[in-house]
Amino acid sequence: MAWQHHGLTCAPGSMLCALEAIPEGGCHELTLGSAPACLSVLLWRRQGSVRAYHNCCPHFSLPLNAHAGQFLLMGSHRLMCAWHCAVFDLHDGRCLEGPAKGMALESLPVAVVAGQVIRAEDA
Amino acid sequence: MSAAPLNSDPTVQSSPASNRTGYRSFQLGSFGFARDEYFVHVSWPAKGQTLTHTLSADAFLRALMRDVAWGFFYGWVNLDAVIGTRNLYGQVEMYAGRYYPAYRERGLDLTETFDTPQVMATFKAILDDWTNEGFDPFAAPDETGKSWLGIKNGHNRSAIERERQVCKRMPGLPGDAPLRTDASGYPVNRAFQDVPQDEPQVHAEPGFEADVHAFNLFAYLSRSDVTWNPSVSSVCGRSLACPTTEEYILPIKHGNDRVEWFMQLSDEIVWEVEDKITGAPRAKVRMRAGDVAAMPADIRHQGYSAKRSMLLVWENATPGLPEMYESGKLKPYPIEF
Repeated sequence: MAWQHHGLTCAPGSMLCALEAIPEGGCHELTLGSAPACLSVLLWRRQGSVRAYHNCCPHFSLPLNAHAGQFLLMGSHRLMCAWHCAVFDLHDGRCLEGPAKGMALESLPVAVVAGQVIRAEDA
Repeated sequence: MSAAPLNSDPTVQSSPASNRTGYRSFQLGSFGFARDEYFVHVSWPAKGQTLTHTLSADAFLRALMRDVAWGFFYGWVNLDAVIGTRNLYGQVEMYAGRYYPAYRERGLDLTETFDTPQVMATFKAILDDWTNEGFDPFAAPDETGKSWLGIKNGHNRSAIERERQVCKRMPGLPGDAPLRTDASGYPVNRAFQDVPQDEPQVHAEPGFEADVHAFNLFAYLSRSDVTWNPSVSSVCGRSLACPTTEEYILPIKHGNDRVEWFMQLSDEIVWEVEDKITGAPRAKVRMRAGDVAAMPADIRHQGYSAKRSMLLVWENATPGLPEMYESGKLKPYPIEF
């Protein structure tokens, strides 16, 4: 639940991307920092609000997508990990089905301000 | 006692239950799946006709169980020599005859590509409907009933919904996957009654208690309740140690999209190794305890274990590996003699 765990230097309030970069009802992959210490973030937009998760499946600690920027959305709010088919609820990150059941994606706090997605304060 | 179908996913196309057998039939794209008392019949169109391929229902259920439990795994999961799936990581190819020259050379094969969730939902629905009460597709034949045969007779959801046991770093670490015990429902398997169950003692420097750890892998494996279904017992970056217990026949022919390393920890497995594309025999490998083998990225393999044995599969989960092998950037074998 915290950006600080990932050692990023961007301060609360820093712009992450334009809201327009995320299609309504869709996902967007954001890479922060530079390799090897970069952080991959999954952004999901729905009805004007955005949720952000560390792009890392709690099953095998692999990215949720196999191809850059391409995520497997199921219906309006579920996402399937491309590697071993764990299904997550994008409302809260909980694994609903598959090999990560009982686990959850790591949520990262963000806010939408004036058409920009920004890093919010850690909880 | 009857139960409603487990999966009501709208992408699953199925028929009403047969009046004669009680089983539903399923459709995935152009592929049809039907079963009767003994057999599963897979059908597909080719050259203006409908071809059918028949498998024993128990073999089909064991194979499909692995494909589902492994999330279509790395590369190709051949349910037998004729039909199977290829994981494109986001999409899945379903094929019939594609890697069987007698079909392929006559244009009688079919390959169709689907989004992964559609194939997963369909396969789960098939497993749910066709697995009768008392039959465990993960178990060795000696450990489960014959209720796979006959007309429909209930479900066995507790068996088919088991997930692979995975750890974040290593079982037994605080906050990680637990070790297996009698109390947690993992008795020592009948074949491993002689395996010592004592655990190693670890005396960590203060402050390192959560970082230094060891456990008795043989004891852990002796309590495995499944066959041919690796768990994950250590994770170091993209390096995954996946030990498993094996008995009878690996229900699928796994076509690799990367190199897999096998370390035989106990007893013996005979591997039949074939060319991944043509199925032509490549090698027969008899692995005894202590033997190590690398399965190349251009083969498919199937194992036979007459007595329950322990195998450690070492997997490289690095994203992008399949493309590196496909492009020739990496050779299909790790060592050049």
